[in-house]
Amino acid sequence: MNAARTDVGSAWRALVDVEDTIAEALDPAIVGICGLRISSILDNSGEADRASASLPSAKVAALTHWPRASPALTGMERACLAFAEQFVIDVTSVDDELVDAVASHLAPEVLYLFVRWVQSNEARQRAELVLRHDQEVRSSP
Amino acid sequence: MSPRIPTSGLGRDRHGVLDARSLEPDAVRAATSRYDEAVRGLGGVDAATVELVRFRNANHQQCHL
Repeated sequence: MNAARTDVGSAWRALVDVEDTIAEALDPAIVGICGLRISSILDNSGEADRASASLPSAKVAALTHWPRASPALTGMERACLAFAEQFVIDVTSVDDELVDAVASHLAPEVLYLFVRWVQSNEARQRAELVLRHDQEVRSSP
Repeated sequence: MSPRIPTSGLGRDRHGVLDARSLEPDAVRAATSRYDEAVRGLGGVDAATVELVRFRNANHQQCHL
């Protein structure tokens, strides 16, 4: 028996819900800076504007010069940024060093959720670039 | 090789076997199930959309097609 047909909007809302649900279990600063870095890699200007507005200006400025060291970014934030950007650029090149750096700051279950969030955020941003559908869906009832 | 963390089900690597579901809060598991169901309900993606996504991503990452 075939599964019930759904529309793209429903699938999109479900993807956004996955990302947002996972984000609730993570440090908002990590979500903000990694989301901004991913948007920069993908050249997603709409997401970059939203993410920048939600972050302290010092962190946004530090990301402009990333990966140069900055007192505005903690060790945990730097480890998560390095992992997230490698995940998006080439997931097969994520190595033990990158994982261990994040694992030194996050408990295993939080590390798992962080990876799930990076995956969801990347998928959503890539879909957004193609569908240009984000604002309409997020603002719909 | 890095440990490969599956997004659902069981995964095995040199560190042993990991049941990813044991690391997920109920809310995340439920949201993931709804997403999987919604994607299945789409009944696949047409070839033109696949090509559009491939081109768009390659263009943004300045990769060769």
